[in-house]
Amino acid sequence: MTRLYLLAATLNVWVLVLILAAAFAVQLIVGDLPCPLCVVQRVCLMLVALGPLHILMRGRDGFFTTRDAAVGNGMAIVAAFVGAVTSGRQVLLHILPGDAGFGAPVFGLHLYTWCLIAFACQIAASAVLLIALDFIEEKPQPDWPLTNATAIALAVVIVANLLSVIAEAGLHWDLPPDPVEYLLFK
Amino acid sequence: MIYAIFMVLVLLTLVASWRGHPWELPLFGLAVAWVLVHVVLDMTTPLTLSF
Repeated sequence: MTRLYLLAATLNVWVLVLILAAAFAVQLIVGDLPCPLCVVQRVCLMLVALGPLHILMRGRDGFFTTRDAAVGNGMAIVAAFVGAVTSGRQVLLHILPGDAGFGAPVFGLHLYTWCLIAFACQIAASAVLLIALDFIEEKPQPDWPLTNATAIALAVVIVANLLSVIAEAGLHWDLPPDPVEYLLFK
Repeated sequence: MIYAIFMVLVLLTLVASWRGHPWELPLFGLAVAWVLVHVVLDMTTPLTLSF
């Protein structure tokens, strides 16, 4: 059961990494630069991923405790709440009839709407993982082999977004509300 | 630059988590609180960050 729990935490991080990679792909392929609120939502997705990653990191040494798992799920829920506030804010900005929304829709919904759905699902998933702690036995486990690869994948996507936002903002403290070019290269 | 600072904070938290450093949770708390304050300020002032 413990290994199943670690697998769930690993999948949780990879789903978030894939969401971030997909948003980055839309930025590069479609040329749709992220607005300030979009970037904040990306930061929130990264913060959410640190929760399940905390579980993996603490379980890396072969001893998995329910306390570490509870802390990791709590981190994910808090970050997902902040993310839901941010994406909810952006959804409400474009809720009036006739408003085309920001950016190109993907599968009929804008990225910030998908983000709101993702944050809501994350809160529910973390709550389920908290409940599932009741089935965990605290005893030494063999090392979980996917921890380092998962952490490296998350680090890569964070660094890519960091470079992107530096290019987008240039030397300015904030981003323009509707960015159309990379200010660093202007 | 503020968004780059947010991401650097996330990266530092990840490194602290990797090394099992006690600063992991304080860094995480700082990042989450700062982002929340940033969004709340956007909600309570004339539109600056959006859309």
